[in-house]
Amino acid sequence: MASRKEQKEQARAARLAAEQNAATSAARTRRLQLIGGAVVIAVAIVVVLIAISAGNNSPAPTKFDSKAALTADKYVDQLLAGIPESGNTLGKPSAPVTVTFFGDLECSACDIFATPPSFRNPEGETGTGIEEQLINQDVRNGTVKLVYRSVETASGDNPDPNAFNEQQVAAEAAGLQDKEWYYIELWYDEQGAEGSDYVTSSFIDGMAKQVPELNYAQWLAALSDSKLLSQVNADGSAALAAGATATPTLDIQGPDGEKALPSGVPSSFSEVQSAINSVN
Amino acid sequence: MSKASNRLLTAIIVIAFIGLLDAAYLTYVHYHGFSALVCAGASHGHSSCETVQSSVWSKVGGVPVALLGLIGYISLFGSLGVRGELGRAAGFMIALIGFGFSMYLTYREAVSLHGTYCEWCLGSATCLTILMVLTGIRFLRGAPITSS
Repeated sequence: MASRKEQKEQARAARLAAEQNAATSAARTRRLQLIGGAVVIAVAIVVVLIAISAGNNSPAPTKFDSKAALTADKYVDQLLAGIPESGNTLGKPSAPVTVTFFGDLECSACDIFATPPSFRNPEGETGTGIEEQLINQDVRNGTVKLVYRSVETASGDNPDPNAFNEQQVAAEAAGLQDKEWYYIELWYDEQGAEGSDYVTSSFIDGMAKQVPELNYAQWLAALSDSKLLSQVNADGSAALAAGATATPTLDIQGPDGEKALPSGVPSSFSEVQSAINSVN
Repeated sequence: MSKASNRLLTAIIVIAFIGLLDAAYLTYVHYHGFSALVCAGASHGHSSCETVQSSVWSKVGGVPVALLGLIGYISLFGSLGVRGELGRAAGFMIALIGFGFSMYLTYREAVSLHGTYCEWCLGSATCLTILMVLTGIRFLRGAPITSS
């Protein structure tokens, strides 16, 4: 049997062990609280930074009487002056080479392809001027006709799931008056930020009102023509068949065959020109 | 301080210094013009770094992201001077913020800027990723949890 002194020592040791356990547990809790607090604060700050940064990316859409819109009008006027248009085709119907541009009106890479270096899109990227060179050199001289076909890519990020069909049908409705390319070019020059909700009925309408000599009432009536929506869907199927899973994709057909450029903005105009030469 | 802790601290200081120089360079370029920007990548006639640095994603509320990065690295150095768990937690938190936001910016380069990357930004993102891991280890190792 333990003596009274031994019993006291055992009790003291037990008390010390309990105190040590409590201190260890408190230190562990404090450490967990600290790391939990650090993670929560860090996540909150990152979320705020992202929210502010994402807010940068939603500038107000171009106003149709603004300086930017007037500049776009002037540019498209000069670009397309004197070139025949028919439906979704720009250029002489007899042109030996057909360049099909699979595009999405909300795609900012299409914007880079379609605009000149003097334009900057809402993402801060400048135009390449490749399409301008193509139009001024090969379409204007009758070698190439450009055909626009719709395929949904960037519009998939628009919060409005109907935006893609509405905007592409609007362009095709302009095509019924042989003004589709004017509508498309204007759109790319005044395009809003990808993933934002700028494609409203007033934006689509405003774009049509900028197209010179477009009969607005006829255009508006054509928006409910189901054939146009069927055409948009058919374009999407054609894009899949052509392997155009991203935009822009250029498919080039001529007397000597067909050449599909890799999806995305061509590296330079000479890449497009070489492909045209290879099929003509 | 143990040898392992010393090595960990040295690694954090070296990586944070590299990140600091990177952010300082990008901040300098932002305020002094892109002609001083050395960049290997090119995107449609412009250097890829210029495209990224002039994009809408290069600023947060009007403040250049590069300057925010510079402030972050300086704060990280500041946290290393604070003794104890609080300092270690602060270091980890700053590295975690930097890591999270640089991942978002890299996503923007990949998606919104269609794969246009700025090597300097990727370099800083790499530094912050390593720093997040190292400062996390430093915090978790900490001082042994024992009562005195």
